[in-house]
Amino acid sequence: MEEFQPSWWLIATYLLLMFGIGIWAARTRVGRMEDMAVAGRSSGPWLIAFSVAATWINGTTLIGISGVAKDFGLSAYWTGGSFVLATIWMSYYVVPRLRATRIITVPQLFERFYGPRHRLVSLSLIILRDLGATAGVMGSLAVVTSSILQISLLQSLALVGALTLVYVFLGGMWAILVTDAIQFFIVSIGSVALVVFGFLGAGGFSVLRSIEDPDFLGSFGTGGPSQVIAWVIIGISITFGYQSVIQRGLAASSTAAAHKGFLYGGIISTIWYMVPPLIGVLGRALYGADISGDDVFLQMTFGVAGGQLGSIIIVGILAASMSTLDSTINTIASNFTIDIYNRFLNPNASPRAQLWLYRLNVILVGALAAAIYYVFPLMIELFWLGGRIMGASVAPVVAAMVLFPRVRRAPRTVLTSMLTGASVIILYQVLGSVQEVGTIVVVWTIDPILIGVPITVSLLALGTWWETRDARPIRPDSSEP
Amino acid sequence: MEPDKTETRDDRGESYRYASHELDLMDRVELPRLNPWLSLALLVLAGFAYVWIWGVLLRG
Repeated sequence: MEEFQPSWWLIATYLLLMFGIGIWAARTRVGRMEDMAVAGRSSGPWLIAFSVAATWINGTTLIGISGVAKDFGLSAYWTGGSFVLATIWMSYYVVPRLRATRIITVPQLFERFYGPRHRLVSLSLIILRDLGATAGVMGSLAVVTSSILQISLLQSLALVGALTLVYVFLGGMWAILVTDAIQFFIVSIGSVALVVFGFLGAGGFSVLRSIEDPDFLGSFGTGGPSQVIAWVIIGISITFGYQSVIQRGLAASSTAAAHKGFLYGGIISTIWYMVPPLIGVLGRALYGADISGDDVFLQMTFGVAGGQLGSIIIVGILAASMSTLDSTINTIASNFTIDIYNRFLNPNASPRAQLWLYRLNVILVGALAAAIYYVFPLMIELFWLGGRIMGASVAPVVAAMVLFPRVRRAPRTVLTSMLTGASVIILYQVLGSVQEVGTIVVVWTIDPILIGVPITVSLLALGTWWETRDARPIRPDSSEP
Repeated sequence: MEPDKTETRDDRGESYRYASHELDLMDRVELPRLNPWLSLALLVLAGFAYVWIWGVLLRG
């Protein structure tokens, strides 16, 4: 690793391009809060597709999933694959409908049907998850920069935070969409090249014969069906309420554009998501089972790739992490500005005041995320701790609200379900049985989401039936009284 | 996916969007006929097929 010399001009060119896009967006595209949060609702399907893909593909998936695959084999695909398959599903059943409501943030939807109390509860649960995800991505980015520049984790966090915040601060969602599209291509080229050159250098797929475990390349891997099912349910449930991705659909110029953007982005990501597991299983074959999970990707990059290809991969992981980090920062800043400041503190704020408050919130969110990772540096688990809470509370409710009009008439049930689901997950994550605390994830005896989601869904179904049993039928296109 | 009846640039404030007559805007966008949960299960099965194919390829 010490011998690797990154191509500084390549890294500098990439960063200058990102800043340039931020300046372009600030000067030509951004005039009000809605431009910052949802790009003025004027994005086409392909810009959304690449942005959705870039949001799903990040440093945590590259470093984290390749590390998980080193231990769990090919089935590590499901730690990310379930998210992107759910994205395809959402392109048909959820996103076009949400786009039609003209909301900017998911908590707005809750107030629309149930009032401010529901908005605040959903906001808290969503922010809990998004801050964890932001911290996890920022951490993966910091790990890479720390290795390249030989600086401390704290210095890396400050550096990567500042790099990303600049263009989000300037151009908001417009800068994010355009940079995401560029970042997607850089990540794809770099990561696929690593797999191809890795296998070519090792003499093809036969190198995997050194792994003796027969389950390693099986559909359920070494973790078995229960582990894979838990990953599938976590992915699906988190995606249903993943506001950073949903906001891409809200930025679409039409419901058709939202549908196509999510569909194309979901398909592209579904295919790509096999790349990190391939890196992980190859790393296991080359370096053995004893290599640390979070070292697999970097070891492959510095050891197998090296030279110019290594530099492209380094730029790729910078791009992958920045494209997700910018999205989650944008989402939380939107929440702080729209759902708290505009709604409760200063409803009459001028467009200029909203714009600058959003920009201040971008800096605040970046600093918060860096602090969280510094205190709790478990990359993927940071995604999942808050993700499980949100996935067992807000996410099932959002899907139910979109699909079942009766749920929109059941405010008490919705609030009870969300709070119960979140409480169960929090209690279980504090008191539940942990098998192992790894460098990347915590392995549970029974994953908390497998307890939380069934409880929330059952409460939601039974409660809605009970609360709306005397309500009049709702016609599909009826107006509210 | 048919375009919905709400294809307008939204220049209005949040208070307008909360107006009661717009509460069910999302229902104007039609859903596919296939049961949503069945389609989700089929997608997950497709994912398993994808992993299985890669497993077969890698085993040579």
